[in-house]
Amino acid sequence: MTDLEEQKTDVGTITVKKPSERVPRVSCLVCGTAFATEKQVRRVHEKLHFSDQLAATCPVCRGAKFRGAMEKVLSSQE
Amino acid sequence: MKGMIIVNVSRCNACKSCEIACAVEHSASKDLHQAIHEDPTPRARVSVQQGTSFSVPLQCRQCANAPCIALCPTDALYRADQDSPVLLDEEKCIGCNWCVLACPFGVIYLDEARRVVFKCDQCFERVQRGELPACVSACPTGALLFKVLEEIPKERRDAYLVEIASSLTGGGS
Repeated sequence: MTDLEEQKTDVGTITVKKPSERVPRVSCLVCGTAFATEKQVRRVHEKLHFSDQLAATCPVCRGAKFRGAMEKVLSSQE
Repeated sequence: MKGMIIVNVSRCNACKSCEIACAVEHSASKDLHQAIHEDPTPRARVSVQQGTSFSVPLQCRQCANAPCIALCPTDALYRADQDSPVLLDEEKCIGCNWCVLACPFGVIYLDEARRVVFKCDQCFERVQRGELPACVSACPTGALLFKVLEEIPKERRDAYLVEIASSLTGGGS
């Protein structure tokens, strides 16, 4: 049972999020920009089975990486 | 009809006509002169990225098992049917950013001001009407093509994917 499912079945308690709570964001492995919380990166890694490296890379750098991969493939075809 | 936007990189001269056409197509007026003055400013779903030797227009790859759909907590991202591109229901989007983090290609963007995401929908309505996606129509050099998936041999698609995956994981081509 997942955490969420467990919380839903436990009707005797409720989950209250603290709006004032500040959570640090982790930095992109490539460019160093803070882009997501550690929990978000972990969830992407676990749920989508992304590699640690891809999950910890920011969307901008993922785009750049994809462009680089396309370039590499296309260069080899020329 | 399952279609795909194909990029012929050697023909792209980074004129960004695709970006403009995309933004206009997704504007309220669908007219360039009026779209410029719209608030919020229409955003392009395609982005021309400058590489070292090529310019590449990047947009959503419409993944078969789309991770963005898998992670969307409100079902704002969906497919109309199994052959449709990944579509966004703006009314349901809460701007939580999960899809942005889930996209392996970095082609979903968050509109910070409106707190909704925006992504390429392959101009779903236009294609339904029998027209080409706006970016494809606007490309003056034929660098962008819209192909029905069955027109591309499976072997060629598979070979390309293997090469891209190999490059992304650093395995070389």
